[in-house]
Amino acid sequence: MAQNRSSAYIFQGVMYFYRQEKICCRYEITLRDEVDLALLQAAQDEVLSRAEYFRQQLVWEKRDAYLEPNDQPCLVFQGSQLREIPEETNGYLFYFSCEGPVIYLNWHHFLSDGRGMASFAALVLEAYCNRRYGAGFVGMTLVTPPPYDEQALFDRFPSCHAKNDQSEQVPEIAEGAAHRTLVRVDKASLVQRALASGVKPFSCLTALLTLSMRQYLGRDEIFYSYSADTRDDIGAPDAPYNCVTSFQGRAAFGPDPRLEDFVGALDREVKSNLEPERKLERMAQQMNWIYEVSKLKAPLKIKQRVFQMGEYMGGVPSDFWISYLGNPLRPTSPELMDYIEDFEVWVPPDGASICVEAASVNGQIILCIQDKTLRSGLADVIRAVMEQEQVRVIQAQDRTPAFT
Amino acid sequence: MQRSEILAQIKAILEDVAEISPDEVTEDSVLMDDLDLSSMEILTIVADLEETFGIRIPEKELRGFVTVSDLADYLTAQVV
Repeated sequence: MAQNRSSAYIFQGVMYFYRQEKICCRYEITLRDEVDLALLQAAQDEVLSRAEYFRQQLVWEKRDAYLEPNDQPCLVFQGSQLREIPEETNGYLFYFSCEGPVIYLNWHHFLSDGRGMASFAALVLEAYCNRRYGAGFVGMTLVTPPPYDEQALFDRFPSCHAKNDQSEQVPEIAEGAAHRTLVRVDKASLVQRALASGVKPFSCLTALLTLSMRQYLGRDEIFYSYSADTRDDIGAPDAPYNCVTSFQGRAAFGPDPRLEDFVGALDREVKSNLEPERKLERMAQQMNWIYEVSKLKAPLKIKQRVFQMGEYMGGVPSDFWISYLGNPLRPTSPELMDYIEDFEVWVPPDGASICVEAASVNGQIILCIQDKTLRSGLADVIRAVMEQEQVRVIQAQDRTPAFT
Repeated sequence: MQRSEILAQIKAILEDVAEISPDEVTEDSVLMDDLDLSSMEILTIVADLEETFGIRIPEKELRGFVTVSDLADYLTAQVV
């Protein structure tokens, strides 16, 4: 029905329709016991009735797109295999499934980023634990704030209108079939190492990964990028929609580099970029480019290609990127962690040869890595580099195939 | 394909994307300075050329497209 059409939230996620690959993400949440499919379905339906934002479907026309309410059943599936979103999900842009003790939450990045999806996931997990264990969590309603005003953001930072100067140096992105690596780091030892250098733990982790990539890729110059959440900065702390920006950095090494040689400089760069005004300025630059692409009077295919080339020219591609989610479930209810045994987050590598998704759960930093370089041995390299710098590695394992 | 045909195609796309008359375009025209094209317009033209000629232009080549002649040279070498 036309009166139910809305394009209000389209812009916040539209970049994920301009990416040539479909960007679907997955949380894997391991509970104590085998998951009951019927209880999970009931828990999801209960929360979905209080979470209007997730009860939508996207309608894409030739040059236009809009959202409308979705009244179809939102199915929970048995098994871990990936399904096409939205073709196999009744139009929903996410789905839950389960196998053994693991709950899988898969979603299209258009709908939400990791932080936004985690709020929804936490409520469903709480509702499930209420039904399965009589946990007594209080069911909350997810209220979605209005989309942020992109025009006001652009007006606040006029520099966002500057042309791409096409002068940034960027690396070639590997495009081989991706394989996965899982690394578990002892969080306390990482924090201790960071304190010893007087830097943020995130800076320490990024620097360790940069050292690892230098060795793994056999290069003395590594380009990295990292994402930053902008919800608080833009005044939408509870936004379920995409609210993020990213920064690029470069590290050049001499022979036999060590962490101490460059972690201080990297930390200064990170701290400077994570200042609220800097984050919003960068967000304005990136979203303005998307806004300009969205205004093109061209078929989606041309927009996708222009977007892709623009990211390249703007210096976005990196050897690796890191996205640090923190503890995705704890901000909502710390007690929920009593029921969570393990947590992984997998995202297709996009805009870099290697992607690193990092989460902090149960005293571990869990690194879910996808690698398109067709090399082998990344797990061993990361373990060796971290242990050389006194950071304890609990597990480092190369896996295949990739989640894509 | 002849270079003259490729040039004609480039001019047609320039007219379509940026409303620049083919009469105003020479091989020496600098895309940004002489034709006043924005980055967005240049990338749209490249994407249209890819569609027209059925090729994929590697991103690393993009920096080399300063003049109309640069585009024509590249396409002449690529399009059989």
